[in-house]
Amino acid sequence: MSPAQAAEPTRRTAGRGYSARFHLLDRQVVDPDGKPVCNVDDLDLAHDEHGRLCVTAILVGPAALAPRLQGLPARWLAAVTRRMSISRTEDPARLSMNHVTHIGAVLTAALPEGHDHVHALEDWMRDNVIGRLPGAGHASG
Amino acid sequence: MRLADLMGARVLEPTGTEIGHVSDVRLVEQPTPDETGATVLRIEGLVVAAKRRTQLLAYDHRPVDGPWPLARLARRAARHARWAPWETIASHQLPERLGDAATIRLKCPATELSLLTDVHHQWASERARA
Repeated sequence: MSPAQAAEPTRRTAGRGYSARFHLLDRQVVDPDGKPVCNVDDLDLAHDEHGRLCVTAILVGPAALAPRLQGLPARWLAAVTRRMSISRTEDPARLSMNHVTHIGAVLTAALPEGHDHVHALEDWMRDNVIGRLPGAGHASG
Repeated sequence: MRLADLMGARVLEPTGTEIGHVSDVRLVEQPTPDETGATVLRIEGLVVAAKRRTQLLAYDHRPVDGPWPLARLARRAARHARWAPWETIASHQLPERLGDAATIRLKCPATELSLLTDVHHQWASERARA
């Protein structure tokens, strides 16, 4: 292990292996300041030039979570998500894997400016419902 | 394609015999060809649990050396699990409807796949080198 890797043991470096279930799925994603961004609900995969599957993005939200559930709960969640969706597509929000710099107890992502809106429904509820309630401006959080 | 299309998928031998389901997916960082030091997360293979409901207690990614009751329990849970490198996957069929399991067909019979417990220590040494 190089000194740089020893200093930053969670930095993404060639050769490191991960269990999808243990190291990635349901882990929290934070920005470099430690501020929570989202959770890993699923991963988007694509074939590389050698025909191998690689992770291209983290998928976020109930639309991403639904296929991971089995049977009726999966179909129910997908149906509710379709009815509650405020975006024009049914695709889940995604965060490019290129932004993820560290994979440890949490995933750290260096987000570009303005790329902090992965919870579209939550943002809409805050702006249009919660934010208009009397006293909302005094909320501590 | 999504990871959810692999997790929990039924695994079949070339003859069509079901041998279990995908309990976990192992991914390894690979350097990109542009030599910038960047990496891509590539799927190396699948952990196949022998029983439909077995989840292998989340110890399917590394050997458990102790405490001994936990180590014994983990070894017992994973004793029939197999490691299927991606090269052994012949085809992958998505489910017909959401919530059903996908189907993965192998190129070889299950007996030609390594036992998960045998490859655990190889992964541990690779992780130490990385």
